Amino acid sequence: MYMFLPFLLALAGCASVWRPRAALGYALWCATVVVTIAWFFHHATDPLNFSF
Amino acid sequence: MSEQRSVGAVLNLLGLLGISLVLAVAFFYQLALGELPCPLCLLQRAGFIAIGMGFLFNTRLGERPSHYAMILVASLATGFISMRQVSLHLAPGDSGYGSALLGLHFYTWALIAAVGVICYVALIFVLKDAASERIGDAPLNWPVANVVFAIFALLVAANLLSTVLECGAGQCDDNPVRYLLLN
Repeated sequence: MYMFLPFLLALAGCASVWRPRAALGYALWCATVVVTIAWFFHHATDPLNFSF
Repeated sequence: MSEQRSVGAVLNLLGLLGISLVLAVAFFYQLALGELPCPLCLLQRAGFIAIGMGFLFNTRLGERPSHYAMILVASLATGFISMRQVSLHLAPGDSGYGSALLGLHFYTWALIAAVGVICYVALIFVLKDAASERIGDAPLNWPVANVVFAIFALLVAANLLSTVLECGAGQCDDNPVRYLLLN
């Protein structure tokens, strides 16, 4: 698991917007969010003892 | 640029500037106080960067409904991640993680900011409607927009470098106390 991956994808997304290459930017934004959420579920392992 | 479309353009530029400010404050505390961000903290930063990219798309590529959708989705993800960390430290007697700013820890501020971004997008829609603007405006070509873009890109690059130094090519410790690659 590469913790730096969301930042790398986001930086590439910023670079693609500078060109500008919109489709690539959108794809990299999607990848950034997907990796961020995936990494979140990888780290969120401790159960929360809440009841609602 | 017409006066009519300047409201949305300026508000998106201010949004990008605000996200840059959030990232800069987090970085200041990391560098000045030596507080290394935990994995959830890093993911909240990534979430704010994804929010900023939505504002950036509106600024550089022109306003689109899908760009606003990106901002909202990234805000929800960031809010959910920060809410998880708030829940971890909610119990009485828990001193929380890291230092506090104005009495609140940064993950609590992250939750407030994520909700604030959603409210901000709602405000943009209202103000654009009041100014009879339509979504679909042309990119903003002001020189100041390039400066804000450069600041945001620099902060993203700095976060990338910092995370590589802190975590290397793996996952970070839950409570990091040193940069993995600086020893």
